[in-house]
Amino acid sequence: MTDMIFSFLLFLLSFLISFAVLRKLKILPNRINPIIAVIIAFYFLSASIYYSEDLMQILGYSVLFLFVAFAIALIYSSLFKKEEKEEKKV
Amino acid sequence: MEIFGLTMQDFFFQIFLPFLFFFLLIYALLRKTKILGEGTQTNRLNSLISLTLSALSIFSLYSLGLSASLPIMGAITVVAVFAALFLTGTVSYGLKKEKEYISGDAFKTKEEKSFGANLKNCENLWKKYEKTNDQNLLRPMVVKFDELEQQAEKLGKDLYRYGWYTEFKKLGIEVKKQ
Repeated sequence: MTDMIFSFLLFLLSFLISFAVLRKLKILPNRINPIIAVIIAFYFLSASIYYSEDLMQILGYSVLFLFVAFAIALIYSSLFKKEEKEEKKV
Repeated sequence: MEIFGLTMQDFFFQIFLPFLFFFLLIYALLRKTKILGEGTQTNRLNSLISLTLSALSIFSLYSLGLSASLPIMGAITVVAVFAALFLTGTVSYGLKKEKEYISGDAFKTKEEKSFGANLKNCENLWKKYEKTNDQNLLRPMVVKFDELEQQAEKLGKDLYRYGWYTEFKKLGIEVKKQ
């Protein structure tokens, strides 16, 4: 069950990202973009069988890294942002 | 009550709240960086991408067994931010007050402080006028000097001890004559 959810989410994510990129780049006509995106997502899904565990680890640790980066940004801005504002006022 | 084999509390703190947090964070990052462009359809795409990405990340965090440490990390972050703000606030306030005590500003009344600021302002205006000899500066100068005179009268200060003021006064008489 968990593998199925994971692979479905991977499929959805790869479809959405490839669709959004194709839409932004405007290489192909608008009608073809979703079809190409679905095909890319299926390719990604079929390839993910071999490295799904590694992908899971990378995703988990990258999210932790994102959390730590956010915490550092929060502390940094709480320390130095106020002074910058005061300088602007002067 | 259990949800997906987890107690309600564990589900809320280890799954739901981190999911919400990462969803909002990723959505905000996507929107701010404008990687996928702008517009309503792009906003929908951004929200869908952030939704799936946050679901995936929470799923992988849970399967790695790291989701239990997320609430602890959140609590540490909040405490660290509060401590940083508190320490910098108290230290900067203390330094500011110390400076005021050394310079004597701490013992001045509000009116005296505003008189001092006005005095500096008028002096700067006069110096600017002396340098540029710009006639357009005269009108704002007269208004400012009037204010300064009123303040000086209230506080019992003598303005003629400042050289620039006496010079301005001479000039003022000339202006009135013209």
